[in-house]
Amino acid sequence: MFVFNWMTSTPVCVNTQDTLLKAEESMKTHQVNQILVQDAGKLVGIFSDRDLRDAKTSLVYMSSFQGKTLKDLMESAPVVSFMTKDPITLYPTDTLEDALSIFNTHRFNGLPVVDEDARPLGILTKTDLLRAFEGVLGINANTSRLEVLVADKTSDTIRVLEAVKRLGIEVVSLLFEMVRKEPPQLVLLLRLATINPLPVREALEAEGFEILDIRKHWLDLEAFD
Amino acid sequence: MDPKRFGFLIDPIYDAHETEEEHPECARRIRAIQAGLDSHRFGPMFKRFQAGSADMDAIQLVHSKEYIQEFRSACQSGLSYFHSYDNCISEGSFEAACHAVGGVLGHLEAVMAEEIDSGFCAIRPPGHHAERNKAMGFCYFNNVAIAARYLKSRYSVEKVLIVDFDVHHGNGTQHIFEEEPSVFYFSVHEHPSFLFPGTGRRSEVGIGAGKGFTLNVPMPPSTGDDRVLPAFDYALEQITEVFKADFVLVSAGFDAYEHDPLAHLNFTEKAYEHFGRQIGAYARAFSKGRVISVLEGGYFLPKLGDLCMAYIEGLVHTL
Repeated sequence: MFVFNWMTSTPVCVNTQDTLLKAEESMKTHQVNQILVQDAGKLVGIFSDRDLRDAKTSLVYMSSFQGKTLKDLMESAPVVSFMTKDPITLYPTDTLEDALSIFNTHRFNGLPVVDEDARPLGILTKTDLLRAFEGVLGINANTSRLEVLVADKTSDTIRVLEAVKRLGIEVVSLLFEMVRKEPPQLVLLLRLATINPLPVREALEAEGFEILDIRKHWLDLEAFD
Repeated sequence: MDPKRFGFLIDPIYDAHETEEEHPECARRIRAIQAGLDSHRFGPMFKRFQAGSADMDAIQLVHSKEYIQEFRSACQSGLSYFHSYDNCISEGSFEAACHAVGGVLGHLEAVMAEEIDSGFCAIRPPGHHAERNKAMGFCYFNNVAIAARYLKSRYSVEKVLIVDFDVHHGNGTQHIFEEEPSVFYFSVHEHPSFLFPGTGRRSEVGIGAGKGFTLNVPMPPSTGDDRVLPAFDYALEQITEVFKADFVLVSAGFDAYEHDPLAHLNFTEKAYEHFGRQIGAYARAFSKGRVISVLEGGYFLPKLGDLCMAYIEGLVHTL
């Protein structure tokens, strides 16, 4: 769950003296929505498609009374005037949770990843983060899903996992969802690497666990709609 | 159509693929289908077939030589499973799997030689989860994918439609053909968030030149006939507009049935008869009535034979 495992390495960079036109061309060529701006190899800013749109809007306005085309102005306007200066950065050893927390509190679509000397190493986009969590949750793994009602996260989970282990079935992912606060009711969502979850289901029911009846649960949800 | 022009492949060779006790994919499945066939009025009329073994060249149309050898060795050396605990094997599993492919290919040959117009292959082990080099979900060789390749290479059939109504998405078949515009893969199955194998979302529509030639229709848990039938008809209408197949192959799984132990859908016999009618109508319109259906899943043994026969009855009525 570290940034270096999921970031896009070799980020697209421009230099502080580069123009808006050069920045736009770089974004088009590399098909990215954010590029990093560096000065003497150190990160000084990030320039996004949103910054580009805002810059163009201002330049179109200027072009109307300067008698120049938008392209003329973009050829002379420096990217540094329009970039986001001193952006929040990540280190490659930061965790995905760190990144998630930043994305949750700011409107960024990508975060530069730098080393201790502020040299750009990569960029972590929201898409990278979603891809990471998709992998961690095992969403596209070949699994069966089982939702077990548990009262206690630790001791009940140990009992559930011991039952699964006895059957020799691999657990691909495991997460909890609080389905009710008072009295507390938790669901333990298991993804198991099998087409046949029946033996696990039977073993857990024999241990007294209630398995969510997904047929009934779905009908209840529809009734709620 | 005349039921005498309908082929039915059923063969005791598949008992050689032995799975452990209480394994859902068991030899009794074929016996359940045999019972359904014997008690149906069409039963005595169908042209019966037995299975020959496929040669390695045919299996290599989809699977690598190394994978085939690995599977053969695993069976010969007495291992109890292959690639995952789900995939039980016995000494005879390799032979049974070769006969599953061989049975289907023999059926294709009978259709191409005009001995029959269409038919059903009650084979096991099933195939639609098998990837090029990976056994998965009780499947070792992808019978239907090999059949599609065989039609193209041996008979120069240009366009093949694969319809898959097993409750699980046919990941193997989709992956094998997802870049090809000449094989259309259409699957209706339980939504992958709730059921193995976790693939088959609506957004999976094919890749590159194959974009638009994969159609997934995932159904939420508890879906019954009232919802799946219009969804199935609408999907087939959409396919009709863009793809007129020369041959139809069907991955016929019966595990979306309301009492099936492995899934959470609520189809009844009526749904399978409806699928048969609709597939038959498509095949009659575009594919000279050529439809070969191949057994995939279906684990509620008391009804498996009836479900198969309901589907076949729908087919035979319209072809």
